[in-house]
Amino acid sequence: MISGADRSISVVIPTKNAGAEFGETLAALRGQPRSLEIVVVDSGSSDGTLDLAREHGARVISIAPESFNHGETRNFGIRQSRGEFCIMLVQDAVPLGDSWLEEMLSPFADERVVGVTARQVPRPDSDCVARWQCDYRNRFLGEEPRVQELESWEQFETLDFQQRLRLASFDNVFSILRRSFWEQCPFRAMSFAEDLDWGVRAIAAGRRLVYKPSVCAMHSHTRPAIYHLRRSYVSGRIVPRILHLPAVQTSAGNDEEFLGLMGFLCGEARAVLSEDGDWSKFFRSYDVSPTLLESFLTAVGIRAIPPNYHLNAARENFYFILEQLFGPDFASVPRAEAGSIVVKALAESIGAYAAAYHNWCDARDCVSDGMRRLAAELSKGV
Amino acid sequence: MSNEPIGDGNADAFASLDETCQLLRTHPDFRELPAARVARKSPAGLAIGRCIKTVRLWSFGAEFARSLTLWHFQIRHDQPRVLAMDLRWHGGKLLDDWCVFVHFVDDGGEIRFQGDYPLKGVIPDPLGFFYAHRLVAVPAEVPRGNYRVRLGVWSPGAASHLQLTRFRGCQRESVDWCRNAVILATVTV
Repeated sequence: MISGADRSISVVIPTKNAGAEFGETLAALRGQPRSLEIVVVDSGSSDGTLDLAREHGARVISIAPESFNHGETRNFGIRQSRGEFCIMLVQDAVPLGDSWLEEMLSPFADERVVGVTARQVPRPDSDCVARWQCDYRNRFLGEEPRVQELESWEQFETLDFQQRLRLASFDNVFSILRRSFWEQCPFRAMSFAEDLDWGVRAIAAGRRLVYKPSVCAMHSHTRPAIYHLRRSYVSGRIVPRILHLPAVQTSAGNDEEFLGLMGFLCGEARAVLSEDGDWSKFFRSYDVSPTLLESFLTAVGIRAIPPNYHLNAARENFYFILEQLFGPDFASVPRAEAGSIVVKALAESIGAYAAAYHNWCDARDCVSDGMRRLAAELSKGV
Repeated sequence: MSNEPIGDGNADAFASLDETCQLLRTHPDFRELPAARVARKSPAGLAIGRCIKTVRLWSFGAEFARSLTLWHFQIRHDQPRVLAMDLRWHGGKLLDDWCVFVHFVDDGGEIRFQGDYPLKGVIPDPLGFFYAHRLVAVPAEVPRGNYRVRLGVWSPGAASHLQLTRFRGCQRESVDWCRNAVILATVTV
């Protein structure tokens, strides 16, 4: 059994204007019986973050804001620390409970384990979409502790997207890594998903990752729709590459079709917002019922919908998210949140579809100038 | 949720939607399409139709002049000497004078009978699809035997066959004068 008492442990937290909530994060760290070395790498805070960190005994290192990079900045923080194990934490995640450190360390008794990730639960003041995303992610990762390891790279290549994602998941929101492995395999300089990339390389190297859902950090964001759009796009562009997946053919084969589908979906979202509140009436009026879709496909000669058939993946995703959020108990959705839900579901769907379409254009080496301009705009600020 | 319209007091959501559309307009060809238009023939509907057509073309299809696609063809005996054809097409722009020709060709390459029909008056559905169910009587003088079914589209205005631009799951005719037609099946009469 490895415990915090006999191993040195560091915490690395990149910060920028972390706000008063950062105090909760630091308090949770100081509340541990074992002394932790806290290294804060700050990239230009002006809101008292540095003073707050110092008050809690953290060592603060400032870097130029323009030099921040999710992978490199974390590498820098780890280099500045001394712990045999390094807790990776974001500034707005709060570890919950009293025993999280011991629980997170326990899998490292197995020398093959190089990283342990905890579950996330939403903040009480988060919006409906953030709560759903958190819950959906937790259901995806499972309720039971899980050891993630790979028999061979060939095995990895037989897995589908979700299986690969589950197998390689590692999350710098709240996790612990083994320094000796990190020294061989540091994070790569990436502006997104450096943790998943590290997870893939860890299992490819024959090491083990562990998911510990019994340990939780409170972490969620209430973001504007435009951020959901951008993040969904960036994720859709980067994650398949990290998982070594080829581009998948999209239902839209050119910009005209892609933009037609996007414009169509935006129009439907506007209609949802403008409807009189009768959800079922909207479904009937705008022909979005899956049953109707199936009927149509049957009518035109497609007798059954093939498993990988996508009439309009963005549209399916949009209504999937709406159904998840509104659910059968539509009446329970706070009225004030309904409009926000619709637009965020739209943003998530459009972002993901735009990424898939761009990936497909890339694979055929036929990205238009218009698509390049759109991609540049979608990639900002994530 | 109450019965109140979610549109009321939803200014923030509309503003967010406008912001999303504004971002998409970074691509100069983006246009938001009113949802109601899906019920009529619309660019969005046609785009969806083209997507369906494209998916179908993964296994079978013949596209003419990049605008007219046969994506389903079936032929069977309706009666001993009558053949029934089901054809499913997709096309956004049809010219009135276009005519589908269907040749039944014997082993010597001779056309022994035909099942041609015009596209005049055809109105594609909102997604751009249209259908034809045709009966072809086999002339009494046609002997029993196997006949290849050859299909293409004739444009009287251009006095030529529409160019065969893509095909899958069927063969291009090898005869020079009819290279823009496809061989769809062989029937026994």
